[in-house]
Amino acid sequence: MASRLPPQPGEWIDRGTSINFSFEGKGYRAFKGDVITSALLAADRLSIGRSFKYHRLRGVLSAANHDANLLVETTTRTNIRADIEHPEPGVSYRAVNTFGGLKRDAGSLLQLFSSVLPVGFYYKTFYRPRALFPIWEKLLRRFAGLGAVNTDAPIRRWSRRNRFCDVLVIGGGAAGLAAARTLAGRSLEVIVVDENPRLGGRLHYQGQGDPTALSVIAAAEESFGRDSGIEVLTAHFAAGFYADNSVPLVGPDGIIQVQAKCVIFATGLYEQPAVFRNNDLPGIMLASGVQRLVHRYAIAPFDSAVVLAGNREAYRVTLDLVQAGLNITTIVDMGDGSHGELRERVNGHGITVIPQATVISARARGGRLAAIRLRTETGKPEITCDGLLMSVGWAPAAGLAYQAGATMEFDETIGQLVPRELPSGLFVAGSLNGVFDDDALRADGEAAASDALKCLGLVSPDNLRPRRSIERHSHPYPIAAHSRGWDFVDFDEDVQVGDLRTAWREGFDSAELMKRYATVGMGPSQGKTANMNAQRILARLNETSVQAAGVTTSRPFTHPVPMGMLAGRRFRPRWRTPMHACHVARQADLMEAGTWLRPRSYTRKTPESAITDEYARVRHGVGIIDVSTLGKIELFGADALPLLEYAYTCSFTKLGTGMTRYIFMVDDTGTLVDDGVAARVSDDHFYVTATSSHAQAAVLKLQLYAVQLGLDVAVIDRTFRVGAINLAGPLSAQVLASLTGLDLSAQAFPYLGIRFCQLDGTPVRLLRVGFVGELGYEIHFPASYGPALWRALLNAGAAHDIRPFGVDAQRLLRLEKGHLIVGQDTDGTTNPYEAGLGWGVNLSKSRFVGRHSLKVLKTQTARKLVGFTCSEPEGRMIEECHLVIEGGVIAGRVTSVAYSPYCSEVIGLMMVDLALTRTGRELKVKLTDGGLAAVRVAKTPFYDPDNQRQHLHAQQTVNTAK
Amino acid sequence: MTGVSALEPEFLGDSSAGAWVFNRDGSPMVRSEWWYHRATQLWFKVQRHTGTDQIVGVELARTNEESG
Repeated sequence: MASRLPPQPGEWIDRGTSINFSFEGKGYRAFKGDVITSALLAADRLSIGRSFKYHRLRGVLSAANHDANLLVETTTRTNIRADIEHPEPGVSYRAVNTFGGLKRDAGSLLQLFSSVLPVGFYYKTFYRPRALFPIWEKLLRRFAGLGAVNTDAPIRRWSRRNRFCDVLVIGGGAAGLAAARTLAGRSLEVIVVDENPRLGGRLHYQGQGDPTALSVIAAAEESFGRDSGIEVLTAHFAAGFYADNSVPLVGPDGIIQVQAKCVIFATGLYEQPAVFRNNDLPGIMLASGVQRLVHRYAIAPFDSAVVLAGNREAYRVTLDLVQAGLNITTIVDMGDGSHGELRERVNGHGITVIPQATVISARARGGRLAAIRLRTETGKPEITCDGLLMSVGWAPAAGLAYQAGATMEFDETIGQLVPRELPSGLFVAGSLNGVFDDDALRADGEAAASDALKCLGLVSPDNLRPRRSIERHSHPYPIAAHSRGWDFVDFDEDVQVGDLRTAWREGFDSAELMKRYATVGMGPSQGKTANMNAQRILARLNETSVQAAGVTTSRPFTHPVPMGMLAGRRFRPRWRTPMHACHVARQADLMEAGTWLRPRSYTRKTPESAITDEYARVRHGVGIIDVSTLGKIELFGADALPLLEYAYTCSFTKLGTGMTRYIFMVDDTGTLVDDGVAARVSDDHFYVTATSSHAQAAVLKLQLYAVQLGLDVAVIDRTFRVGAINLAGPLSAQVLASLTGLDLSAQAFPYLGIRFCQLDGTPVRLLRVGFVGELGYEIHFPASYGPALWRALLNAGAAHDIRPFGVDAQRLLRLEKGHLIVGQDTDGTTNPYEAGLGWGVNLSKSRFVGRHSLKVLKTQTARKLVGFTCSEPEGRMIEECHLVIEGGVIAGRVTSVAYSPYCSEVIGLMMVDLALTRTGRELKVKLTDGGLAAVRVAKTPFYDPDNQRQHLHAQQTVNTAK
Repeated sequence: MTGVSALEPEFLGDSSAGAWVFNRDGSPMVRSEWWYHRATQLWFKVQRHTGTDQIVGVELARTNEESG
């Protein structure tokens, strides 16, 4: 029977404050400082969880975060570790992973079928017949996994903080505190992090006979603070180790990302369980777990207990617990029991020591431990007890050190993996280093601090490292495999010795393979209490040393981290164009286009008619669109031309002064990455535009190529300092003429020309381009003039019913004209030949980016971007990325699609296999609902194929305007 | 800051074009990389060991215009 003890020295609970909560529908009372586990044990509730696979009842093992036996959930949170979670007042908790509650979990019936559920059973069984897999999957998913996520739970966002420090000490136990003390008062920024709510580690709960331990902790808590330079972060754990000594510390308020010049790993050890039949029964605990319960929460988890001893620590624990008032009857010593003075003291308390014995099985009554069976030199006696304490060995908490690049070796004397080599700036201190006595732990911490000081270039005394312990602290093989199983190696995953043997027999005979096949170490506690024994078993199966058996790769995180903490707060730039306020005033429907906010259209009520209206104004009258998101790059210098020739695929030799041309860029694989317009202002001055999403990358590349080639050219990014408006439509010249005296005639300002002038007092560049397929002028101007110019254009065009148009209307207009959009009609694999842009590649140039690839690709074109039309009603259901199906296989995909008012049918672009690109050919497009739509390959442009609109209207309008 | 690959070579046989693009040696060693400092819009030539992240050398990359 478990119960609360009288007050213990240094206990973490405040008996004056009670907290009421419920578990599995029953009310419980906790003291402030209690964890859920301790509060339940105080009420003699031992069974708190169900295991993952066989739904076996589970109780406390480590009473720390080292195992995942006790996972509970509330209505909003799941997989809460009962061992470390403080119960909240009024909250209802329940065990995860049960069918119908903890007590009568229907899933526990699976135990009856364990003999036909060997390791690998699911892999081997449920993959066929293939048709049934969806059913199996649904069933298995219900059985697999732990807590259920409530997707309606309120979303919490944590913000991440960044910190820098000189030394980060991970672990606030004896060695960590000694290291911190050595570093204090030296004008260093030091952070000591410990996952427990209080400092001290094992100092707190081991060796209570020694009152100096508690005073060491009290002194540290008192002296550390701002003045000492030591900052203490308790209730935070170091979750992983990343490049440049970057360590995320996870605490209740989110992640603190620390970057430290030096790191001291004082992370200590995880106590390891013994393996025998029914070693998972509630009542069988790690000895250190019981010490935590006693000294932190004043919990006696049993009436009468046996200690299974694989090391000298077992005797110290026994003496400690007896002193705290617990009843221990027997020590079952796996060795010869010759522990000298310790043995005598134990005997003095009337405790029997049985040497050369081990526990081979345990028996339960009423869901808790009732008796254990031993194998001794003389027989197999049974001992009645309701508690069994396992003190058989340790495994290093070396995950972070491994991630940092440490190499470890197995010290056969102490029976433990210890660090061999560490990267510079990283140090290990304490029991992780294989030192155990209090004095040695302190000395090792001080020595690690001295090493860190030297690494920081500071003077420091030569503190010699204490010698590693020379006695055995871990039993070489605390495993008593049982012919009838239930001898658990991994409690998380219900992995038994036989499962590992099966895996090995089937060829999974290395640490990494065995892990994946038998799932040992793959549960929520990531093998903290399983990997060491699995490694020993593997070594024995392979008839090799533990060192040679090898360990699995350590990866973040030390403990699970909530996704919301990893996500942090949502930081995303939203760039606004100079005319943003004008769009808002016009009630534009703003959309995110990359990082920019752009008007989709100018009414929120009926977007479809708004788009049609805006489209019609451009086709038949005049409209303006904000195109300030375009990349705008200025090139000055004698080598501006060679730079363009290298960066772009086309030849610039024919580009005359005062003229522009369409350009595009590929990467070294020949993939289209950007397009735009280049204007020759003068021989040493070019003006280039880039797509909105690629603008910054284009600037970077141009600047890089310039330095790589040693060219005499300055590349200046004007994207944010220059705004741009496209004035388009047959009446655009008339609007423009009313604002400038510039000669707009076709002779003075031809199609593709660039001119400098003033528009209503604004200095502008006019580029005659035709993206939307109408007479049009791209007006570029200093950004601050944007709103005034926007209004001036609207006023000047009022007589012609000018309208602003948005991105959607522009997309429809350009689609009718057959102009592609890089990134929409192309993807990360599209080359210019496939996109029908081969005319813009000049392979006779001796050198440009992508030339070698394009030379090869030119001869290997296997698909092409073509137009299509669809006059059937189902054409309206075609969406971008719908697949083209030919002969039952995928033959292409739709990249753009819209209903064209001009063609009176659905039009679009699609990338299809070359064999299917004959104009007029019928193709099938698979719709979202699974149906097929028949489309016909069509010539592009759909609208004005001879480009008449650019020439006719220029003359007409100029004539009428003058 | 970004690491960026080398210049497009001027001469390559057709057969080695694919090798130049796709089969670059990725084994860890000291490599010459181009790093960009966004705030100053300057490119640096950095010698870095790609296995240890150790920076062996840094050189400001200049255009002719700046150096001349």
